[in-house]
Amino acid sequence: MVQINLPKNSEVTKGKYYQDKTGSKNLRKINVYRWDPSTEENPRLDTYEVDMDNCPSKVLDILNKIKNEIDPTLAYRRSCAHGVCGSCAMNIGRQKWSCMHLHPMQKLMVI
Amino acid sequence: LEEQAAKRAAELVKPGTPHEEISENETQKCIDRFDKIRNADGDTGTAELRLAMQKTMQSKCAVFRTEKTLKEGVEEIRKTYDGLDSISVKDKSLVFNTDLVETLEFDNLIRQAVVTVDSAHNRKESRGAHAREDYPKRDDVKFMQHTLAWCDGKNTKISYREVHKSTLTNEVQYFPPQERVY
Repeated sequence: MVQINLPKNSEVTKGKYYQDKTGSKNLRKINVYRWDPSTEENPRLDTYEVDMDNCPSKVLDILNKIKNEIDPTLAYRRSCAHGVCGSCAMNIGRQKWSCMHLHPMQKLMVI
Repeated sequence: LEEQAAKRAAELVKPGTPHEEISENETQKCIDRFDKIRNADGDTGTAELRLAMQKTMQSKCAVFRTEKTLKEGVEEIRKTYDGLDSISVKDKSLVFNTDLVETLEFDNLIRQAVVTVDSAHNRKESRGAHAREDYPKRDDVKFMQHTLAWCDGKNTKISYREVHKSTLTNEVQYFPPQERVY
């Protein structure tokens, strides 16, 4: 079988780990694929610990929570947030609209 | 009428005339504002201040207003305004920087909010979408006028301008506004 490798500058590196600061018992680890085009760095996979007791369960809600409370540098497109416009389409296991999709029950997920 | 306007414009403007130079001060003002916000490194996140502003506007300057809520709103929104001094922008990049954009938006919105609450507090009547439970009637004597507001930081100046009470032609008569009754 043909082995396809990503180009060197597209290989995903391990990103930062954002530890929970709320002391919540109900944590979920969210992995987010991120890339900053203004630096020469490779794309990376950041991990956030999110307090799910105080977070609605759509994927977009989780992202909003991360952006508002944990890491404001996170950037993603969204507009209507209720399954009409399709701005928030992203890869959540497979391609989905993050405003329509409940987070999967697995401990880890890749966004 | 349009034809006359076009003819007049053709008389006044010579082809190929460049735009008037914008004074250096004006562009500098915009750049200073941008730089100040881009390099803001306080300890309050934009999202936190924005939420405070949203909560104040929703609870103190909502659909139905009273003297009490508006007075509280006037003071409360200024506390949020003071948060501008300690605002922080964590993302320093210049590509798809939503943190910066949201902070610029907040800077615009908080000034709008201050002016909105002050204008509503000063208008002691109910008119259109401005519904005051303590003044349920419209007051054409005092308030049939436009609110003008000047915003200088958190200090505002409220003034009023007369509404037009005539039409532009003699072909139609002027209809004085009436109370809406259903």
